[in-house]
Amino acid sequence: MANEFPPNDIRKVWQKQKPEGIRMSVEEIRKKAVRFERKVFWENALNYLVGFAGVALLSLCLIWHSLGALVRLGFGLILVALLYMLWHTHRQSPFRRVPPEIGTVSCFEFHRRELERRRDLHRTVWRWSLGPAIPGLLVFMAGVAHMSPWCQAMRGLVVFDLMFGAIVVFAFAYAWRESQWRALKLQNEIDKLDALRGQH
Amino acid sequence: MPAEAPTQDVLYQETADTYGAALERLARAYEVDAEVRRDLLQDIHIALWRSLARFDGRCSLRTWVYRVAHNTATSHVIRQHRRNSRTLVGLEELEGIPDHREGEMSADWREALERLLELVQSLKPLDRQVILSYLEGLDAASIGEITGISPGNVATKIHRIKNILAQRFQEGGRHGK
Repeated sequence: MANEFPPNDIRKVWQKQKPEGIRMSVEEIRKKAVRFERKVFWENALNYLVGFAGVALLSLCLIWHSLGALVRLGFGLILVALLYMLWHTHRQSPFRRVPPEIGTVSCFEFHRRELERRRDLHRTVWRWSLGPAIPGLLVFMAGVAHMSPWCQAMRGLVVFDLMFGAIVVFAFAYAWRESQWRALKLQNEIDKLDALRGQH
Repeated sequence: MPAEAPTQDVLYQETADTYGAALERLARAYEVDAEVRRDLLQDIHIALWRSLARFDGRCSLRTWVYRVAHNTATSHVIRQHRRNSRTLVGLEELEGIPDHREGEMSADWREALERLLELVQSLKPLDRQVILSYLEGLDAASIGEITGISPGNVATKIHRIKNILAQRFQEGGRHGK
C-alpha cells in the first residue's frame, strides 16, 4: 500500500530530510564562541547593573554625614547584604552557558540537576537574599527613629516603625511565598522525573 | 584567550562531518522558527566544540555528541517554554489524542515529515529525546545511555512510539485512500 508509512519508513522519512548544509569551520566556531560569550556577558551585565546601582546608592548614603551614624550603619549592613546577594547570584548562574558536565552526564541527570539548582535557589531565598538584609533594615529603622525629631516622640516612633515594618514584612512575605511556590513547582517536576526513572 | 588543544579541533571537525546532518535534524525537532533554529544549531556546535576539550572516551563519541546536543536543545526549550508557555505532552498522553489531520494523510514524504515534526515538537523533553534517538536509528541500549532512563523504560517508550507512529501514519494512510 503506497499510502502507508510503517514505522521503519518513518525513520527513513526522518533521516532523509534535506540538510540545509549549515557548516562552520573551527575558526568560525572559535569566533562565534567568543561573540556568544560576550553576548551572554552583556545579558547578565544588565542584571548586575541594577545591583551595582543599588551598591552605588548605598555607598553614597554611607558617606552622607547628616544622616546620622545609626542610619549609615544600617545602610552599611544593607550594602553588605546586597553584595552577598550579588555574589551568591553570580556563583549560582555563571557567565558561561556551557556547563562542564554537559557531555558526561545523561540527559535525565543533566535536566534533573538543572531543576535542582533552580529549586534550591528559590528554596534558600531566606539564606542568601531576605535574611541578610534584616539586620541592616532594623538598624536603619532604629537610626531613623532616633534622628528624626518627629519620631523622637513616642507616638511618632511607633507609627513610623509600624508603617515601615509592615511594608518590609509584606514585601518579604510576598517574595518568600513566591519563591516557595516556584520551588514546589520545580520539586513536582523533579518528582515526575524520578517517578519515570523508578518505573521498570 | 587560551589556546585550545589541537585534538579538540580535529575531533570537532570529525564530529561535525559525521553528525552534522543529524544535529541539523535534531535542531529542527526542537525549534520551529528558522532564524532561532540557526542560533540553536550554532549553540549546539559551540557547546560541542567546548565540551570536546573534556572528552575522555569513557563513553562513545556518538553518545557524547547526542548528550551535548540534547542537553543544549533541552535548555533552549525550557528557556523558550518559560516565554511562550506552550503545553508539552508526554507519550502516554499523546497515545490518547487523535490526530486532527487524520484522513488528510497522503503518501507525500514532505507532508509526512511535517506531521512528524509537529508530533515531536509537542513532546516533553525526555520523550522528545527518546523519539528522536529512535528516529535516528539508535538501539534501546544507546538510547538508555544517552537519556539515562532504564532499558525497561526505554523499551516501553519505544513500544508507545511505534504505536503512535502506526496510528498516525498507517491509519491516516488508509483514511486518505
